[in-house]
Amino acid sequence: MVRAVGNTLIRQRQRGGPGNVYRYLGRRLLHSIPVVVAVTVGAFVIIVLVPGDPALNMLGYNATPESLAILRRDLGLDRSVPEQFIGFVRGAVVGDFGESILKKEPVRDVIATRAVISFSLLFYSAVTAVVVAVPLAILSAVRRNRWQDHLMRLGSMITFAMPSFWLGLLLALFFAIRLGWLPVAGYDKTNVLTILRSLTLPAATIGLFLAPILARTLRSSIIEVLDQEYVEAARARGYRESRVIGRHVMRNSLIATVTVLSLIIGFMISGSVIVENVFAIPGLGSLIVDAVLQRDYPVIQALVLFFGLTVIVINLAADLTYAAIDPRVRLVTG
Amino acid sequence: MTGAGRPGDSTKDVLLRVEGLTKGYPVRRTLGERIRRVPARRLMAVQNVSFEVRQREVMGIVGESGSGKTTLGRSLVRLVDPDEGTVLFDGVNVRAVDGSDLRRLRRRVQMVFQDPFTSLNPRMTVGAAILEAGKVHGLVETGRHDEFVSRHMERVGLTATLADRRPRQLSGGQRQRVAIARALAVGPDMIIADEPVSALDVSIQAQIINLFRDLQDRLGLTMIFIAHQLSVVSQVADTVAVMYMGRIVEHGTLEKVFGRPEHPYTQALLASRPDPNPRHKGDPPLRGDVPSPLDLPPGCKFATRCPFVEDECRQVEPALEGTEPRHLVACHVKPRPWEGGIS
Ligand SMILES: Nc1ncnc2c1ncn2[C@@H]1O[C@H](COP(=O)(O)OP(=O)(O)O)[C@@H](O)[C@H]1O
Ligand code: SF4
Ligand SMILES: [Mg+2]
Repeated sequence: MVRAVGNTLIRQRQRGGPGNVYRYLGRRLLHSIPVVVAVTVGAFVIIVLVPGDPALNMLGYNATPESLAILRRDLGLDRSVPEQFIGFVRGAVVGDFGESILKKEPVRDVIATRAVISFSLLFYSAVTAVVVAVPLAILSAVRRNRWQDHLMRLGSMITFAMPSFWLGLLLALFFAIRLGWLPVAGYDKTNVLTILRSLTLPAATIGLFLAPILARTLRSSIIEVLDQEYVEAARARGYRESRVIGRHVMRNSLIATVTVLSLIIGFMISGSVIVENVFAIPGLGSLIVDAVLQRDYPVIQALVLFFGLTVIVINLAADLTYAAIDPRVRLVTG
Repeated sequence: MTGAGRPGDSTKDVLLRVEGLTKGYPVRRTLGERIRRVPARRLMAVQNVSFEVRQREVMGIVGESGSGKTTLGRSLVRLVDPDEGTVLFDGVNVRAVDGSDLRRLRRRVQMVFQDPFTSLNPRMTVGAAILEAGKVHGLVETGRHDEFVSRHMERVGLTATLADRRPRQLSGGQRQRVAIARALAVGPDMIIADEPVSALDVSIQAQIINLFRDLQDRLGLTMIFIAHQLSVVSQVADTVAVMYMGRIVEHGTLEKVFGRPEHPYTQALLASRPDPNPRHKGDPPLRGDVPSPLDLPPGCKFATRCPFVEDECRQVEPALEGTEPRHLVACHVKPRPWEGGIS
């Protein structure tokens, strides 16, 4: 959805001068506005659409009328819907989403600490996926239609067919319980090493789920580049195969990696919700589950908006990255 | 055969000697063919080709599209692995070398490809491409990068200010100059140019042909220059080989092959050249079907189209044999008169 908006803005043109990245960025930001508005309305509407009285839902049926009245005022439920919306947007602009009912802390602070953990996990997962997928894709493409290739394609089909947390559970069983190398679950923030150890199994779970998708896309992209005459020309100049692949093939295949990673970012975020809960990682994924279960509406609203904006920003960054790494992608608004 | 002499006689100044070179591509069988156990076939792109190129000589290769020119050219540097035959470059058995020996050999024998747009890496600037070629083979001193790049650009008639451009920002002629500069940057002894002007505008072709002549002369390069147009080959070549269906059917000095062609196919090619005089209107000289490269007749491959065909032609394949010094022809029926005159 958001992705599609980004894609229609990218057109391939064969010739032309160097693109004006700043003008493109401006135009691209302009086109993001309707999406941002839609996400904002969506986040706001959650509280309006809740059946019955949100305050009663949150505090439960044995809440006193006084505390209900206070909560309604805090949430602005005593005002008209347009007024509430303006209040929500005003708050959102400065990052003020009120207080978490559950934690009695500003929502912004709750999200900020957990976002750091979630983004570390996402980054670690993406790195794992790339580290696993890139060598496999190269091997598979270079040995196309030989046994290495068939093995990789079969393996990627099998792992892809497994539910995302299944592999994580297997990994946890083996590395945490059997070998005792890594914590089974939980997040130990003592130092960087303990943090890395805590995030390794969850990141491997997400990363290994993504790796086959990445490897397959990258494989076909590498094969396409391998068939280009400039690759043969590089060999003909007497270059080592490692240079031919590293300098001439991989750089031209990079765009596929970026495309796939940005395409599956939504996938990764939703996957991380499950994985964070399985491994008890205190990130945004476990926060949103807690918030929904506990009906912490301010947190839910803020998270919906936050996730939406994250996807928009990452897509924008991906589009700009294409333009930077592939001179053939010209920046044109369609 | 030594008496008649191949073009590029067996003297010690021979740089490249090719003997019986053969290359077939596997043909995919359909499912039905595999079930019926039809044996796997090979499309014989090059069949039993032999020739020699002397130092500083330019060998032109002409032939229709699909006659095996590209396969032959690429086999010489193992971009295509031949099935049979010998390739000796300066005493090195090209088919036996591997690894760093093969890379050393490839440095000495550089290719220039037909389409300079596809043969240049779209992400590399002109300067980076030329510099990489020099650096890989240790030919650039540190700190003299710019000097190396501009020297090689100027040598092919490009101003050094274009060094920061990428291929898409250049014209076709400029791109081919870059490809030539990049090939020369590794200091080769020999250039194999595979239809280097076919993808260019006619107005540009002459410039690039002149550049090749000039460079060959100044740098003392040995060259194989492939083209499907006779007029292109006649401007650069010392000897000309004519290919038909993967075979060389005639090979000799430019004067002999184009001036007194003996093979009926060469004669037909010369006769069908675009005639500058519009009043000379002859019949199209070639009739008959071109055989399928997958199902070639047993004897002479030209028999289906040859005006001089005899019974023997359909049974026995003619060998490439010398008819006079530096002139070889593969035909059973001799001599055939040539009335076309010299171009
Ligand atoms: N990679 C390949 N696989 C299968 N057949 C090929 C391949 N390359 C060339 N051929 C076939 O080999 C024959 C000779 O091709 P080629 O060497 O490209 O001739 P030319 O350069 O004279 O046009 C053609 O029939 C062509 O279809
Ligand atoms: S061998 Fe026979 S068929 Fe072949 S070119 Fe000579 S005359 Fe023609
Ligand atoms: Mg060709």
